[in-house]
Amino acid sequence: MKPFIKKQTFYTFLIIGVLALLIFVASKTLGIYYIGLLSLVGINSILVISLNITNGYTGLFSLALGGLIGIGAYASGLLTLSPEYKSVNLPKLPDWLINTQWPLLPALLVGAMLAVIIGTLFTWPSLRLKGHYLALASLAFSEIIRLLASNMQNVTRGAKSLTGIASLSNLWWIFGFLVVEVLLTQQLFKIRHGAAMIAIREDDTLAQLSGINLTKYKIYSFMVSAFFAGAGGALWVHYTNIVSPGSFRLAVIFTLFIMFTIGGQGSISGAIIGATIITLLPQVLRPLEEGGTIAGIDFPQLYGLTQIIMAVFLIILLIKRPLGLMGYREFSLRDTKKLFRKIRNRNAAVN
Amino acid sequence: MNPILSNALQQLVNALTIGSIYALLAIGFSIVYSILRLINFAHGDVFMVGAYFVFLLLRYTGINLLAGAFAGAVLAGIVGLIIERGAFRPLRGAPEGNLFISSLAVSMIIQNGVIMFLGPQPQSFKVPGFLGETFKLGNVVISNVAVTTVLVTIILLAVLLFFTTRTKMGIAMRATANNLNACRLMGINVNLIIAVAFFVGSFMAGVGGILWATKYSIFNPLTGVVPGIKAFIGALIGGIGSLEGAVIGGFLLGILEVLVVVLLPPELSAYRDVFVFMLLIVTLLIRPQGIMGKSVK
Repeated sequence: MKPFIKKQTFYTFLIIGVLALLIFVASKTLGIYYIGLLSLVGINSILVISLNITNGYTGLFSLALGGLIGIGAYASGLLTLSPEYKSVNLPKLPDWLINTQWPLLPALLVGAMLAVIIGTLFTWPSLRLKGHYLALASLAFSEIIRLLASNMQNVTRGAKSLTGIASLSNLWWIFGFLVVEVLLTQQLFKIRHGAAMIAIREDDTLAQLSGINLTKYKIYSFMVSAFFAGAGGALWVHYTNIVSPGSFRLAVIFTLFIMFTIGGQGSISGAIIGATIITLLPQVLRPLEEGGTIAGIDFPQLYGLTQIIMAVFLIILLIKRPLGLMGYREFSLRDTKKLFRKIRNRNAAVN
Repeated sequence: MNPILSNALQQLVNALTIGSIYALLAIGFSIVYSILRLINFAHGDVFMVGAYFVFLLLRYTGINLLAGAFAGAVLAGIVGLIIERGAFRPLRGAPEGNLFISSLAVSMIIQNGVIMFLGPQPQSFKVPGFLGETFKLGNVVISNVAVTTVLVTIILLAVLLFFTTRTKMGIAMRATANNLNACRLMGINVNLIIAVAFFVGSFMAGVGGILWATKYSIFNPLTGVVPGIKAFIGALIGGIGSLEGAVIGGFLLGILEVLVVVLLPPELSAYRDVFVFMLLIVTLLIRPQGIMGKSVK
């Protein structure tokens, strides 16, 4: 007899239910600082999964994330800002934009769609080519967006930064979107399109010989990734309430690359693990940077130390474990059980 | 001389000065790319470090600028060697994406290292008076810095040309760029060649950084980022992996930058860099192999 509900589907619902319960408890009991950290973990997970779709699953090397986040953040921020703020601070905007004040979801979707459209326009010439052209084209794209954000003062207020964006995204929005993103990404790599992307990563010549249109699937992969990146940018800006051209410069994006590399390329659970570790690690390392006396030794102020430690850690990891912690694998109950059994057997053997 | 012509010549002098620096940077990028297929994001930071070495040497040892500049460039070359040994050689054979990420990590280490030890504030080093002086050729005002920059670049390019075509090491380097594995089978010490390539490229970048610091007389830990990206674009427009291409691309970028500022209305000149980056996208669209490059697919 066919079971009423597939075992896997049941587990999926179970995990979502437990997650919802945890978020409920967290938002009732935790202080602002810890809720903020949790929100950042969620947002970074969203962004790293987005990065993973192009760079991990499809084997492209895109640096477009910064520009995509920027588009998502500015576009959605402008749409949710109040007409009063816009008419005072951005009087040169067109009237219809000054008078719109949308809720989060439509603003987020518009931001994400804009990221897809603009990002794809800039990168498709390089996606047609084999080799490393995307790396430079996507970097140029991110730089163009950053330069436009700092120069188009009538729209973005430039370096004065866009402030006063309402705190519309909370734990429910962030983790809700994360769940949707995880489920969609998982489905994507179960169907033909996702398989084509993985084939491109493994061997593009072979993939082409098997009749896969390289350009088409590379663009698909980029578009999906751009959508999630733009949405992540929108959620992020409604959490920090402020965005400036410096918010998405290369140094910030680099941190997301560390999460991606540490967690594991081509792995959703790896992306979440990496995002969690690297979001929380600087909180531990920050006291080092501020100097002072630790264990009786005087430390001078060492700004930038956190970044250096993380970068060195990253290089060592690249050498020792090039595919990251999860590397093309997913966290699964069966594997975990196997691991525990192995450990138990080993202990038994020792005893 | 009529004013339009003299203005054009004046801008040409500016374009050649900036273009020289981009060409010096683009060469190192191109050499490394042609051998390792690596877009080295740390290259722009080696450029910045060159200027900082001269700053430190002049402040603490009291040698003159010429000796300081040479020592600074050699030190930048050594930084290149260390980068290759520490961050790229252990990764040889790994997925290419990992090399990129590694070069990003190196870039972060260099930038934050400079911030940590010397602070994020802009610095400058003292330039002897005659470099700041200008002379007039007809109506064209030329500064000694501009002449020095172009002369140094031409000399270095000539030396590089001699090195790559007339010396055994240089020929081996070109052969390695052509086919690394075949060279290894022919008994060429590929590790040595790659190390030399990094040293030469970083030395050139160091010289570029020092010339940049002399021209603008101010630099900070992030100075190398934008020239670095632009030099990559120059190398790509000229034809990636080709030395002549890198030089042509570098000069072309300098000319384009000056043209944008001269021809466009002043309120658009803030968008100068946007045009440079757009040029990359357009190049990829119509001639992806660049001016001197072989065809790519």
